[in-house]
Order: sequence, then structure tokens, then C-alpha cells
Amino acid sequence: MARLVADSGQLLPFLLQGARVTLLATLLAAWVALVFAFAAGLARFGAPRVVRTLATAYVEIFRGTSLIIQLFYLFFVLPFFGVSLPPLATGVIGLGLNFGAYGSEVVRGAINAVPQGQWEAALALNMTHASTMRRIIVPQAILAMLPPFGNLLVELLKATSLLSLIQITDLAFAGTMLFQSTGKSIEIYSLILLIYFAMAFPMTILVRRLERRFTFGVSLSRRR
Amino acid sequence: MASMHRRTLLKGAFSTGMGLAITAAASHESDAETNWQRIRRTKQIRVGSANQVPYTFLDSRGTLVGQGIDVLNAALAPYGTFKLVPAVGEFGSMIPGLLANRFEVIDTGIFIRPARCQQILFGNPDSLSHDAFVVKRGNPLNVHSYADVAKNPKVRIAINRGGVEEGYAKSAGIPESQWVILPTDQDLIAAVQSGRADVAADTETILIPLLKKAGGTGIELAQPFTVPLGTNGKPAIDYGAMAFRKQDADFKKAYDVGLGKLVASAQLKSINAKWGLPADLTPDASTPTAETICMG
Repeated sequence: MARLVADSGQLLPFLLQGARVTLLATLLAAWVALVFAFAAGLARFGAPRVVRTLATAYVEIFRGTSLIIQLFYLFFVLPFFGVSLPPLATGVIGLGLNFGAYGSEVVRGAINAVPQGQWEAALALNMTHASTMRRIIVPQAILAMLPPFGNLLVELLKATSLLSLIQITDLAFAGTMLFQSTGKSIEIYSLILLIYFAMAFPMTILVRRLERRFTFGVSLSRRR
Repeated sequence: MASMHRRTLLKGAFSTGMGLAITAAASHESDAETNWQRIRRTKQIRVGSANQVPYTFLDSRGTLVGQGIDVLNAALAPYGTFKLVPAVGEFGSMIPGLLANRFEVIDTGIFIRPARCQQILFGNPDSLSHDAFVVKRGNPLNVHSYADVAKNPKVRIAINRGGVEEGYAKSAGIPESQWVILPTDQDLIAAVQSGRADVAADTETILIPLLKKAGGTGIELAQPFTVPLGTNGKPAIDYGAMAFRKQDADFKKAYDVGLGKLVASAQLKSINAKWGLPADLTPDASTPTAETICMG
């Protein structure tokens, strides 16, 4: 135990550098994923056929192929077509596209779960489709979206470990490198476990707080 | 209905615009200048490394150090001093990264193999290696070659997944029941130390620093050792070198000239010795050039 604490002083700085990259990649990719999730999820409702087909194609392609291959393509293959983005940008876009596809299914499911009566009432009040979505449906759907989004966020945090494939030193890769040069497996992997948990737990708490906030004003029969 | 179309169109236009902006910003590479010309102008080289001791690896402060770094700096010294920007990744991403111009040179002790020569250009070798065995101190089972392992069915030999050692073991007739397959080089040493294997087989340049780190705890290199034969019937010597893109022949030529001076002046020998590579693993005037090795 004492050795673990003593060695941590030596190992922590490099691990924390990796942790910072992991956190940054997670937050940026989460943002990109959110945008794509809503864009693709909402596009499945009442948009022109072309847009709906594009959205479906996007979702099926990015859910149906593995994230490693997607990152590989963006990083190693696109340069041959003239598009060469720096590693972190590539990683964020790749993760964002992949998790956005999963997120869009969450959005679509939550919108479908809003009672049909809400749509009918809005129609009776002569509201436009966009207005109905924006003011009636989506606010009610958000509460149902939050737990699956929380899930995806933690999954995204762990998926950033794949970024080592495209030359990004995230927390997991920093640990592997330290292990290669120091051989202290127990200390390194214990520290990494703790750091991942320290990053994941606040995210879970944040999502739970958001759930509580969106429960205000909802009728008592629908609260859980 | 119309406003929903408008919103979707706006969303689409925005994302297309962003995409175009990113693409425009990204493809700023001027095709008129070669990598070597840009390197001489900016005095910066992006170096691809797989974090492999003793070739190139990150120290505890995150700086790229190693035999490969010293050799690259010394060979390019006639052209000036360069800032080496590390691009560290897994070994499997080295060649794809070089081809995609993610970095200008692979400096990680990559061995010259004819199959690789078809995709990339190698500089002349800056280190040699060959297979070696790590055994418990005193070599109790008296193994000095792959044939010795095949003769004794009780010997368990630890090798890396997908390495050349698998081929050597098969040719020597060692049955797979005697193989202990492990993912990394450290695992091989740990297996012999803990008794999960009797012999660890790997390339000598990697075993030497691992043994040093293990601090002489009851394990040693098996001496003497019969180097296994390669596909051409001669002892299999591995040549470690820098790798460049085929379009960067000018960079390779400049590097080869500098390296030749290091070989002639014995400076290469002292660099290699500093990182634990003995003299017999250092190229000299009789070492074949990269082109010869590429032809097999």
C-alpha cells in the first residue's frame, strides 16, 4: 500500500495528462454526438423523403460498422482523398458520428413514446409541425431520453480508449506506455481504474440531476 | 410543415457549410513541396514511434528518447538541428500512418522485410538483431537453439503472438503443445521468471533492455545460441532501419549519406553501445544496403 502511494507520485503526472485528453475528447465528442443525435432523430419525423432516407442511412451505417474501422477510415484513408484532419479532431468527429447514431435512436424512441393525444391536441390548436415538436413533444420526450443518454455518455468515456489507434495519448494508452517503460502493472492499472471511475461518476450524477430538473412540472402519474 | 422543411434545410446547410469549412482548412498542404523540403524549411520532423525500448520510447516526462532518436539526430546533423515531434501509436498503425502522411519517418526499429519494401522505402540499417533465448540462470535445461527445444518435450517456450518466432518454432518441429503464447515482450520475461515457461524467445535488441530492467533476477540470455535459419537458408538476421514514404526518396538519400558517415566514424557503434546494443549488433561497412535486403 505504501509502495502504491509512493509510486503514484511518479506515475500520476503522465497518467493525468492522458486523463485530461480522455476527458476533453469525451466532452467534445459528446457535444458532436448530441447534435447528430437530434438532427438525425428529428429528421425521421415529417421531413422530406430525401432527408429521412439520409438520416436512416447515416444511422444504419454508423451503428452497423465497428468504431475502430470508422476511426481507421477517417484517420488513415481520408488523407488519400485530400482530407487530413489532426488526430484529436478526427477522433472527436469519429466518436461523435458513431455515438450520434446510437443517440438518434434514443431520440426517436423517446419522441415515439410521447402520447398520441399530445399530437392531436396540438393539431386541434392549429400548431405547425415544427412548433409542435419544439414546444410540446420534445420537452416531454427529454425526460425519457436522459437515462439512455447517461448510458451512452459513460460508454463514450470508455470508447475514447480506441483513440490510441490514431496516435492520441489517452488515459489507457498512457497507462500502456508507462507499463512498457516501468513494468509496474499493479500500481498503474489500479490508478487508471480509479481515475476512470472519478471521471465517470460525476457524469452519472450530472445526468441524474438533469432527470430531476426535467421532472418538475410533470404530472404525478408520470413521475417515477 | 413548411417551417419544418426550412429548419431541416437550415440544419443541412449549416452542417454542409461546417464540413466544407473544415475540409478547406484541412487541405492546406501545398503539393509543390516535398516532405524533405518542408522539413529543411520548418526544422521540424514528425516521428512515428511505437514506444519500443530501446529504439524510441517516451521517458517519464513525455520526451521521445532512445537509440533511434540519437541516430536520427546524428545522421541529420550535417543538415542542421531539427525538432522531433513524436507521433506515438501502436506498431500496427505505423505503416498506415506513414502512408497517410501523418508523420514523415518511422523511427521505431522496424525491421526491413521484403513485403514491407513494397509499400515503403527503408533507410540503410542502423542496428541488427537476431533471435535469442532467455532462460533461468545457469540454463538448467541446456537449451541453445530451437532444435534443443524440439528435442525435449518438457520445455515450454514463450513467444509473442504473430511474431517470426512462430515460424521458427514450426520449422524446428516444436509441437504447439509446448508453446506459451503471450501478448507483449514483458510477459515473456515474466513467464520465465515465474516459471510458467522455461524459455522466452524474442529478438535480442528487445530482450537486452528488458533483462536489464528485470535486474538480473535469476534469468539470463542463453549463451551460446544458434541463430535460426531464415527463408534463404542463412542465419536470420533482422535489420532495423528508418522508414520513409516512396515519395520521399530525397529524405531517404539525405539520411543514408549521414548514416554512412556515422558507420565509417564508429559514432554509430558508440550510440548503440549507449543504449545497450553490443558491437555485433551494429552495422559496419560490410552490412548490406536496404535495397539488397529488400530483394530478400
